[in-house]
Amino acid sequence: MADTAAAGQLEKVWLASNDSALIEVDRDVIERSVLIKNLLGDTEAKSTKETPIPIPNVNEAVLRKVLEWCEWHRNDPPQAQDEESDARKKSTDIDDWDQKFMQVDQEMLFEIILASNYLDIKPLLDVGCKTVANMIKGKSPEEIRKTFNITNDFTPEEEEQIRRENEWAEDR
Amino acid sequence: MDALPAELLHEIVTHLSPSSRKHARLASRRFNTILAQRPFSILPSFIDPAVALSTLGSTVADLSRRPHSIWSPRCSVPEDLPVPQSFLLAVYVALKGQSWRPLALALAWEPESSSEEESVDGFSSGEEPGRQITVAGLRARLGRKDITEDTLRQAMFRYALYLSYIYDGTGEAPQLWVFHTELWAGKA
Repeated sequence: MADTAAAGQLEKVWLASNDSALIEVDRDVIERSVLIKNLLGDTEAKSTKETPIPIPNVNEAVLRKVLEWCEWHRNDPPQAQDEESDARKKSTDIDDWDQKFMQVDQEMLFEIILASNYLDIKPLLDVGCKTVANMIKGKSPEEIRKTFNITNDFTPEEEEQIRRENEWAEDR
Repeated sequence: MDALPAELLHEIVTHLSPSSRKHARLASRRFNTILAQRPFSILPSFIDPAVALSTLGSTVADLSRRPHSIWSPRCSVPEDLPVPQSFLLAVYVALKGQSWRPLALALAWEPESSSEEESVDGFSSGEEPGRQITVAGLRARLGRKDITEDTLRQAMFRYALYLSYIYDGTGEAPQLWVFHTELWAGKA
């Protein structure tokens, strides 16, 4: 996990959020983002306070939250090449630190998911998606609507039809 | 939730169990659009009798926690077994990826959908007007000549067996009504 002992000697990168905040971060931390890693690898230019890397889709609060996750996971090994494995897809296990990290309001949770998708931070995207999946798990349709403030836009006939279809759904 | 694009909702629902997906389908049309086909992933293969029998055989062989007793995968399909609306609806959503709509409603609700496809496989191809889905309507809308009442009956019976093999609830799997002739009239 996080090891900041040698942080002072690490190369720094400057980022600019979409609300014009400038944030300095260790290069190995922000390289948890495949998007930024590729960007830094493809260009010889240094990111400085005067020429920060723009992150146009992410505001300061969300970017700092994402960087908090990257900092904690800076020394994690690269994700195994089992991205489509059933085990990973079916699992909703989240480690303790990530569970606490995701204890945010729904707006922030969805912003983190969007940011991790944009920045291409697959493990963080996974944690975000699993968190939402866990909020759905075991709930009735009405409870799901209530949890996410979703309007029931079915007609009674449509709802009845889906219930009839579901009589033949795989269920285990 | 509205802020999340469909691709991310897809990603989220991959982490849901089949039973959670069933409930989530009923949350809203958006959820239903994303989840409609997933609970029926294996159903289409049961339309081919050889594939159905093979699937039943391999499922029985792989059962790690076999129930006390199971019906044989080679049970004969009862000739008079009714094929209820619910199964026709399930076949449609399994093959088409969206719930069946009477043609007039489908065109009214989905103006961006292919009108060419609908006009080809709608009334002019044998679909009967009205709200009920029929075998003829299903065959026409799906463009599948192999779909007949008999093939659907066989598919339904064997699929019910399959669902009973993987069922982990209490008592008997609900789909095993196919063995109880006294319940057939209520399902027809």
